[in-house]
Amino acid sequence: MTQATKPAKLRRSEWLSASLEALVREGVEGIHVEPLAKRLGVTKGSFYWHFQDRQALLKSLIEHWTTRMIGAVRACETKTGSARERLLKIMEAITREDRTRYEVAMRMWAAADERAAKAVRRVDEARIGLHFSLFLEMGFAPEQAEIRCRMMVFYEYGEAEFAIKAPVEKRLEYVRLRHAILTEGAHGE
Amino acid sequence: MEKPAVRRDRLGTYDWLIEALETLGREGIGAVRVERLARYLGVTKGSFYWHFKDRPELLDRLLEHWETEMTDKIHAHVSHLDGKPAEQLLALLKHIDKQDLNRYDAAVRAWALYDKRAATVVTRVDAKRLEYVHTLFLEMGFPAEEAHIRSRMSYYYVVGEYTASISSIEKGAPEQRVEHVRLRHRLLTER
Repeated sequence: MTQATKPAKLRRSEWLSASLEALVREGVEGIHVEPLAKRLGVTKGSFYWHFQDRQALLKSLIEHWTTRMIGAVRACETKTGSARERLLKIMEAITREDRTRYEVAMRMWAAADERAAKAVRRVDEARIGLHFSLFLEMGFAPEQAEIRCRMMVFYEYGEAEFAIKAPVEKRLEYVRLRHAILTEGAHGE
Repeated sequence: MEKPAVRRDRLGTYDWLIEALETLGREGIGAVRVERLARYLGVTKGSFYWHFKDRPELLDRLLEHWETEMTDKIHAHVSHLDGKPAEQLLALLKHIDKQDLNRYDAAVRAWALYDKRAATVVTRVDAKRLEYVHTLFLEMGFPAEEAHIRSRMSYYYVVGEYTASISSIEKGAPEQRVEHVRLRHRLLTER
């Protein structure tokens, strides 16, 4: 029993990762059991060991993405330093981990699917809530904090929309410039 | 939508393209079909083939049309305004917001996700727009790197706002949006 569980668990996450990649490549319509099985080099049958059907996979996929994203936000909440420093760490982490990689595809999906839309809303709320409180802590008035939040997240989604991206080193440089522009006038600068 | 009967036999290529772009913005690329467009325009399907060989040709021309109308003409419009580069940038941001130009962009981007031709045009348009705004920031006297990041911050906002608003983040009421334009503009142009 214990011997069988471990590799099986591994394979479940592999199905989820492969599904996420298919989502980015072709949209939700691209997620089908047979092509996924082919890509993973396994039989279709092994899919049903982990998921009841395609719908169950899609449901797990949404949960998988949400947990990852919320987890990343939570991890940021516990960082130390001034609000300004913490914001920089968060921006760097987002870029370094390419966290917005699935963003565009998830949103496309969310446009047509209520479950996906709910997940995206949850992630947005968590993320924006964190940024907003950081900008308030820096001493910005609420409307100034809000526009800064919007500039921050829209930049990330906008960048994710672009097929051609600069290498990560370059983007980290941009992160620091962006951070300087967005936090200029903050307390304790 | 009022469609005066007099126009019917005088429809030009341009009318088809305008209708195609509106349909794209409203319903997505899947809806841009000869029969449907003909119905919207109140003409027969046959008259379409007077202007275009087939649907693929229409789609190619539609991409060209979008590029010209939503990029080249807007840049020309803003460039002809008097004023300093910072004022031109404000005019550009307001213009984009007021005309809701993003609604076409959203549909073209969705199309480009799974279509190579559309993707090529989107890439070119993005480069052109970034270059335009970049030049404005250079003219304001920002050093190259600063101009680079500021131009991206302005443009990605517009692109990202659409992406985000698909599912979650509210675009806001018109007055609020104008206020956001001003705040953003001040943040990006002040030193």
